[in-house]
Amino acid sequence: MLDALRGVRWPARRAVGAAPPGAHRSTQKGTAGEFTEYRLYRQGDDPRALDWRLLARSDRAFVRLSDDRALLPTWIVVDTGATMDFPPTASRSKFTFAKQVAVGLAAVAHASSDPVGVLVVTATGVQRVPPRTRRGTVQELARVLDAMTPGGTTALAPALASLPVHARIVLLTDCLGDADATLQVAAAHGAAGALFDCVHVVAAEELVPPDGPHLVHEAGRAMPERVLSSRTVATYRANFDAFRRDLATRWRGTGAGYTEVTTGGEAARAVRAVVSGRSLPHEPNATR
Amino acid sequence: MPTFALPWLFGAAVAASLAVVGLHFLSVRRPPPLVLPTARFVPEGEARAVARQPRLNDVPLLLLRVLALLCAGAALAGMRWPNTRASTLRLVVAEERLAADSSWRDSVTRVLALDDALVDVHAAPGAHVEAGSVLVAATQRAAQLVTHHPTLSRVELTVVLPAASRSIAGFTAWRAQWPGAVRVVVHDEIGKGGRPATRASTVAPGRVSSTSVRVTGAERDDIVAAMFSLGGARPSSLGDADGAPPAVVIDRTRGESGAGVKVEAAPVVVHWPIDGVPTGWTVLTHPDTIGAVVANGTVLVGPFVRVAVPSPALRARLDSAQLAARPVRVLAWWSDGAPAALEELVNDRDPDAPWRCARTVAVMPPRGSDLLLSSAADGLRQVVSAPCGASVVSTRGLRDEQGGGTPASGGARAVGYTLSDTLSDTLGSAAAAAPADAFRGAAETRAGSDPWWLTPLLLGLSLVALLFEAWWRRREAA
Repeated sequence: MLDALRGVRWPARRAVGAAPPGAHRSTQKGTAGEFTEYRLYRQGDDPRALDWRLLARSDRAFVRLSDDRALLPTWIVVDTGATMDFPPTASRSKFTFAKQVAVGLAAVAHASSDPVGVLVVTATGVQRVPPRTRRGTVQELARVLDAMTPGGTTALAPALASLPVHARIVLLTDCLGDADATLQVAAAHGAAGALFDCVHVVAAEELVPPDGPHLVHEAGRAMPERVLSSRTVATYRANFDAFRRDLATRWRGTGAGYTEVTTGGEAARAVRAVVSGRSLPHEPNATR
Repeated sequence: MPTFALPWLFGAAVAASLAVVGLHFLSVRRPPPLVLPTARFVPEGEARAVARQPRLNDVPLLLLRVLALLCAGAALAGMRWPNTRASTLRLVVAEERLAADSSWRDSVTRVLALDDALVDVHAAPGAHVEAGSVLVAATQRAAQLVTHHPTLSRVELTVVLPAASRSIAGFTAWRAQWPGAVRVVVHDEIGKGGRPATRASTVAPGRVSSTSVRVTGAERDDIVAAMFSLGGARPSSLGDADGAPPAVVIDRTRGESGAGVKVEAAPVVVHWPIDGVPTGWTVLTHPDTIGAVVANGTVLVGPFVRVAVPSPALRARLDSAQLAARPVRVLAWWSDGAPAALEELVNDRDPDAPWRCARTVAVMPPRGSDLLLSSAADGLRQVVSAPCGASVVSTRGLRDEQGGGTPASGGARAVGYTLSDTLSDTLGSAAAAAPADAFRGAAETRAGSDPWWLTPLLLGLSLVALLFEAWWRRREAA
């Protein structure tokens, strides 16, 4: 998968704040780099930035400005709730797929010299690896994620609130936990300058349930008896589609990115969809 | 199309299978549980409502149960799988020893196996004794085959008779029962095991020719000697120097004396002891009186004392339906039906040697009585002094009186055929067959399947299905 992602770039959706030089367009304007605009000379500006030819032509003093590039620390947050461990017997559960996508995103960010770290919320606490740019960071993150096992109920919102606002935060989750609280945190961070991306991991078996009548229930959650049969599957799919559409609308409404990926697809393809901001065909809202 | 010996039993199995199918429709088993993280999006509902939907549940289990029921039902009902689609049955019934000859059977089958007909060569024991036994065997065999092969619609019968038989009265009686034409073939080759007609004096039933009779071991004024002297017998001992060997020797020596006439002494040796207990007979512990003795259609009434009955061994051979090595028949009866005189064929295995008979008579005339000299005793005298084999009749006269016409059904007279001594000459001619439906229902219901291995096979299949069903059920529960 990492070979398939070689050369993939993950530019920030908008200009980032002041930061050490990096690959992302910065909100700061400087005199180095690619020319972007002219500005009237103000007292205190560096005279070397004056455009003398324009001065000669127009008798007015203008300074050449160009965008600065800045680093963008990337935090990858992986949900380890019990609902992520589905299907339990399949070779690729939602959690396994989320780990693969997380490693792929980390590799892409690291290739752009961005610091990348991971935050995993487990039932016992929060596992945090701060963003780093040194060699071996991706492998270290992969080892940390491999050591994790999903289970229990985990609240993502408090962990997300602890993250810095001047960063790119990618959340890999199935949105079946504290989705509303997480969305509020994401909206607040986004308003403060963070770049949020929600990667909604959906199991193929959730989109197309197995045939035959089944008495369905959620692990670790008390709920009334529900029967999934040929008579109720259409309603189920309509409800689930509406839920996902609503999620997409709300996430994008906060200015965050939203990408839905399914375990039936390839992890590399999912990573490309996240970094490019494209929607995959199965997503209920195919436009962004 | 298979048939069943007990169709109602298979019908019960089918009914049980339908009941099982109905139960699978009505099953109210709860659906299996499934962990689904997105179960919150499934509308709430009652599990039993799903179970009441009219659709088959557990189709593999249903199939296994129905298979087990039907196989067990078919096995117990005696499934019969016909191995032929033929519509014509060509039945050949021959005397037992001829039918046992495999080369003869093969040659007959080869000649008759045309037009996809079913050919069956069947043995009729007792054709030597009663020619009608072939028709009895033919009727039974036709009923069996017609019941087993429902595709059969007509039966062509050919009977192969020995050249001579003790009686043909049964043939005439049974002929009317066969609802069609009968081909009668007289086979001289049967003389290898029986007697060719030329070796016996073929006279009409009930008639015997006179023969020379010698009475030995008689006392002075013996009534039996006097009886045969009236008929031309000479009451003299063996070794009489008159030069002419007797055809019949009557030995009046007492049975336990051990000095009787040897069987080889004459073609017919009659042991008629003075004490009324012939060789091979058992002495009655309490002799009884009997009012008459019947022989050759005549009744001799008198105060006879019965002192002996045939021994159990003799009785068994007399009652045996099979032709024994030394066949025994009754010459005379007491008025209560018990045998009073028996005849035993001796030296019947050598086809070239003349017949010999050993006769035993247990009639003890009353002391001082002249009953045996009356005309009423003629019948007894005739059967005792008749030549050996004289009572056999030729079967060459067995054919229908009427000629022409069409085959009848249900017991009416039918078309006869020209007799032929060569089997192949006769078999090639066209035959008017009896309808097969006349025999359906006549065969006794024989339990068991046909072929025989169908029952164990179906029972085994049923058992395997049941075991697999139990395993499948446990697997689903797990």
